[in-house]
Amino acid sequence: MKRNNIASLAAAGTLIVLACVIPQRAEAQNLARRLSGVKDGKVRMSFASRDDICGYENGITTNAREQRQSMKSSRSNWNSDRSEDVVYDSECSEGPVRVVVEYQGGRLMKIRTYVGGKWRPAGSGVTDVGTVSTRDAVDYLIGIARTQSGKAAGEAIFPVTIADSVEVTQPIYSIAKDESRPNEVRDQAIFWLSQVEDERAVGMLNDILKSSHDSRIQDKAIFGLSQHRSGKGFPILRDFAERGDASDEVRGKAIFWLGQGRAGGGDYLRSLYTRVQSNELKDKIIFSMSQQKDASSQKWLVDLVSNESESIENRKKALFWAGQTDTSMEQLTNLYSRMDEREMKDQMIFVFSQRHEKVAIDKLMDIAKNDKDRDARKKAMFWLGQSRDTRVSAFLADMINR
Amino acid sequence: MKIKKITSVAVVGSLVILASMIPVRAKAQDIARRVATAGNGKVRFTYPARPELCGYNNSISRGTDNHMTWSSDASLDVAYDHECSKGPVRLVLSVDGGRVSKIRAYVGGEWRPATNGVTDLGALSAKDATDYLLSLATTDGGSVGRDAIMPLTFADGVVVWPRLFNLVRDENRPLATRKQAMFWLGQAAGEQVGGRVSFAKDDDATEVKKSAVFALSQRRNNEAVSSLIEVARNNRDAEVRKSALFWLGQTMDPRAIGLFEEILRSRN
Repeated sequence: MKRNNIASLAAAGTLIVLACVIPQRAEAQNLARRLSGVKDGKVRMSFASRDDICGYENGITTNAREQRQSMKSSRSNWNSDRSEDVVYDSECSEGPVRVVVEYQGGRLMKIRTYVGGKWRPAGSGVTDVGTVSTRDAVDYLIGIARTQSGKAAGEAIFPVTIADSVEVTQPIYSIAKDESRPNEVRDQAIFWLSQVEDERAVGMLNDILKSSHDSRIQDKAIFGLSQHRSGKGFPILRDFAERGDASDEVRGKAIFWLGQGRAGGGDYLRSLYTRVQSNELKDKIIFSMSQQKDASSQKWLVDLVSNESESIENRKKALFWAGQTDTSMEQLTNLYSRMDEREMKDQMIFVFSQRHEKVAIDKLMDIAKNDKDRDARKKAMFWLGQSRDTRVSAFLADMINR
Repeated sequence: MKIKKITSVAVVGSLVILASMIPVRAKAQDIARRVATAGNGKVRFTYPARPELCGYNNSISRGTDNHMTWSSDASLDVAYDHECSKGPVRLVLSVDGGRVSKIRAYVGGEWRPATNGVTDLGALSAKDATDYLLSLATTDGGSVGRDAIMPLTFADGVVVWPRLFNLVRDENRPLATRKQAMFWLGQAAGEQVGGRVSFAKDDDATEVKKSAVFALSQRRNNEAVSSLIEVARNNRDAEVRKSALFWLGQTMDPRAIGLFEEILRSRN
């Protein structure tokens, strides 16, 4: 009897649980069904947003908490179109998420996402479904990304990532990995996977990178790994940069992103340079080294310029990028005085021409006037002719008439 | 009686002058008429070329130690059996619906056998040919007007530059046509320098100075035109002066036009 009671209770409990679940699913299905009847016009809905989000005009800010606490001005924004649906009266307006789904002739045309503010008065052709639960909204939007095509299907993913207290990493990953989905939808899914805080996303992006045979998707995954705020994508990119079985093109992308921002990859890239054979990869490393801000990376570039065991092409590239960074004119002038090879001298003259400083023009004038190498003098004059320095015309006229 | 005789001479003289003018006009119009009646196809003719020009395949060169080559399209119409073939200028007009759509110019060689659709006007005088080409340059609004200018500068024994100055200054003509006329005026002015001055060559210094002239010509907003004019007038090295004139010919600056006119007028 007692057992029966327990069984009855269990059965009742199951029914209660089912009863809790069924209305939610049904509600999401109802939402989809309701909206599928709309052929033309806009559908509005709102749902709870993450508490670190705020909106203003046509932008959405992610670090609203920090802003409120420290009044920091740095923001990361996702711009949407002009705020034609929502009106704002403050610069950082907290939730809800407001989504506008636009249809034309039964086709999904556009999805606009806002945070905070107030709806502008609804005109004709606007269906307002009011406030829905985040679960229903996410299910509905993920459903669009899973089944629809076109740019708007990709636009369904972003609002999902700013819904409050809903697990979205796994469904976004499923779309990102689904080869049957159009590129534009997968691209969006991979991108937004890189933006979620959930660190599982790093492993998911790694899985996409390693399992995909499409260099475009690999490219997106590499970018995503470089963007994840945990920084845990960088070791994966380093491994990938060394993979001999991957194409130089895609390895080059990994090297590029290792050279950017927070990667702090100077030491690693220097050591990688000695291990790669391909000129394409060396080229990418040279560029990535030029993006490092530390003095040792700049010195590495300058040393490479002088290293005669390196190919002229790589030395020229190193010189070009050294010239674009904070390498001083004094260093460059010293390098020039030690150069004998025609191509390197030409490249250095070009590098001088690209420096927007008076002392570089002085050096070009000096070469034009005094260099023993006639071709160097001619090259220097050519670049002087292209400069904006007001002294140049008189200098050239003097050179011609003396 | 004496007065009457002079009057008669004057009248006769006037008639002679008129008589010499009318056929020229008629001939230029005649060429235009015959081109128009060609419908679709090619019209070709020759006229005397300046003696310093020679042609080979798709290029035309001037001078001996100072070759200038102006490439046209491949030599579809003319066959050559040696590398520097002297005159005449051979002109081929492609005609669509009675309108000239393309001009090809050659120097020397022999016509390839005419096929169907080719109207051969034979040998024209340099005057008739240049009158016709100038009429194209001053009326056509597209590439034909521009392309008519180069071959008219090849004609021997006619002075075309006064009419090219009119063209350069005519703001109603397309800029491309005016620029082309300016370029050839610069060439004509440069030829005067070469013809007038002998100079001791220091190739190295000259080369560097010519690079400086080019660099000067590249200064923004014609900032260096007056310096280039100074070089063109007074530099000791004729090659450098010619180079300045060449680059002045790439500008449309009125000061450069004035200089060219001054140089070319002083020749005659």
